[in-house]
Amino acid sequence: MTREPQRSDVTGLPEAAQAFIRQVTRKMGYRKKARAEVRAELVAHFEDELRACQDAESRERKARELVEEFGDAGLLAVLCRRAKKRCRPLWRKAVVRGLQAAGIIVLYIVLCSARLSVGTPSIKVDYLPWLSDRVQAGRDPALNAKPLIDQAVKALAYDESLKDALSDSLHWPGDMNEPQRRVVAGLVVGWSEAFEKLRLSMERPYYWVRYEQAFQESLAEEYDSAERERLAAEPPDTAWALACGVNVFLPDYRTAAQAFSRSVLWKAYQGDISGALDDATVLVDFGAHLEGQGTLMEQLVGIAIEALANRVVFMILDRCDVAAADLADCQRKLERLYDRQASILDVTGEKAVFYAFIQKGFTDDGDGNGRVLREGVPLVVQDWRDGVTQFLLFDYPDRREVMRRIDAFYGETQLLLQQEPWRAGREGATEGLARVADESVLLRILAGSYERLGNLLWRQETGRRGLIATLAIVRYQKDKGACPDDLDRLVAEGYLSETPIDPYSGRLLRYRKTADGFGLYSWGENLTDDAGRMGTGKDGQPRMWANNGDWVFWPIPKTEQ
Amino acid sequence: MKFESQLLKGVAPVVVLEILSRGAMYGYELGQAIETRSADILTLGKGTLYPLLYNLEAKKLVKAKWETSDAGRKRRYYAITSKGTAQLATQKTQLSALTKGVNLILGGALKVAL
Repeated sequence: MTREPQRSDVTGLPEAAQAFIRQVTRKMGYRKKARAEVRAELVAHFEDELRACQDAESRERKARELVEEFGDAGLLAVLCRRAKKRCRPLWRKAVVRGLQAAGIIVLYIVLCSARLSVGTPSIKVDYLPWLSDRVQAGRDPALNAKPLIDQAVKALAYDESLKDALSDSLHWPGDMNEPQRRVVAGLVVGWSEAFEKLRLSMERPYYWVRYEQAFQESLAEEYDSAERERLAAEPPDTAWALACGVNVFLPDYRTAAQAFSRSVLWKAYQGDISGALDDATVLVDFGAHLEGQGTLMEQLVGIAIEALANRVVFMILDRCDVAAADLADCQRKLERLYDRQASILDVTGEKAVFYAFIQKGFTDDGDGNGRVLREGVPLVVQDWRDGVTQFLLFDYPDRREVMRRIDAFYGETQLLLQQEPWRAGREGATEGLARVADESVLLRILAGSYERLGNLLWRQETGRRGLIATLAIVRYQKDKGACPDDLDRLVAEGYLSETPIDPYSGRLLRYRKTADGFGLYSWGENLTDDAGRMGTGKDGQPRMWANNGDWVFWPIPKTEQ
Repeated sequence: MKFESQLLKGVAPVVVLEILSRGAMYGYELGQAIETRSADILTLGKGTLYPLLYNLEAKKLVKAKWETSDAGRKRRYYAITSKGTAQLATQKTQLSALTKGVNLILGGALKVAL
């Protein structure tokens, strides 16, 4: 058992011995306790050796001889340190080794992190004007419907009463009670001017937003001048800036569309069916203007507005006796509108966000060799295990590789969006996207969203085909006094330019004559013919676009009315 | 007598353990005992003694304890452990066989030379 040595005093020893002992203990460079022990033991040794010396001179001489015998102080210190280290108990050795290992790991992590933090991205492209230019495509600003849409929305005199009136779902005015009808009637009168402005705006064929301006407007609305200056000092995050920019007007667009849908139904209820159908096509056009370009948020709002307008048309067809000429006019306008549109959904805006992300998340391809920075890590990590390995080995793909991945990902996304669902289900269209997306955790998350986006797109397309076919069948019925035997008859008699294919079956939309009219439906997302049984929501009620049954366009189920 | 350090390296621990097997000692005392008991043939360098003791302590062949000597001084006493005793027995047997072998060779060589 080793006890704590008492503090040993070297001052009683000759100079040479003192110097030697100090040198040994200093050079040992080990724990204080171990050094004190060696020091005490050496002091004791010298004391024992010098005990026989009577005078100072002989003590000094003897001390020098002893120092000579001990040899090199440095060597003795090293040997003592090594031996003392071996004396440590096992648990202490384990703790020391553990701490050393932890220290090395921490140091390594700090070095790896430092590598991710050192380096400057070179910001060459501002993706807000880049996207604006892409959408504008060099067109004359006089062709842009947006300024007029904004005027129409502003003319709605948006206030809380409007919000309350629109919070309820879409109802046929005839089904409302008298007080409700009075409220709607009062509001609709005030909306007519706004609707005329919207109609005027739809005469302009294109719609685009200068996102950089919209972002500045959003800053002016949300922040004071000091905060704006601070934000302007560095380039904004593109995704955030786009979201801020479109958030300035998109919520108002939605509210306006809801208000206009009520006004269309009111007009039909008042008996102006021709005018109401015409207004409904204006509303469809409003939605279509926002689709197929720009940011995803705008396109989704556009899809929602168009879907709302389609419901309005179906409601009018269901509740009113529409003249054949009005049906033909409405069908013609809608067909022209659909033909004009290149696509319902476009992911260029999303791609721009990624390009901006890459630009900020990597060093320049030149001197920086396109090395990933901290901001870019989510783009290059596949999963947590892979992330740890990449981090420790600093084995990240470079900027060019990530650009290639993003291009491939959006190429596959575009393919997926174009693929009709019945075909995609059979040919595994999502596999290509999943394979590319597997290279990054961020892309993997997005891939799921884009698959759902594909469903939304084809739902919209199916809704369009269903609406056109319904208009044609009802018109045929008006003209001939009976429903056609099949959909081919509509093409043969010029009511349709082509037979409507169901994107969810690859066959004709399912049509059948019934005792009191006809039935028309799509197989829906489950890609199965449920014999016209409509899918249901969580409440068990029939619900359009549910994924557990057919999508019935006609007859309109009671709950949908 | 001055020996080659390599020659003494393997023997020194056995010598120290053997001396300590007869009673606990502190460093200086141990150095003296080696010289006395080997009739001044063996001298362990002072720079070697303490690292050697610490190594034996690390291997748990000896244990150390600070005690006050008869003269009232604090000294670090080293005593052999049971592990040290077992080790000493083994090494003594090996050393004895080694000595015998070396003697046979060296004795033969001497005869040839004569």
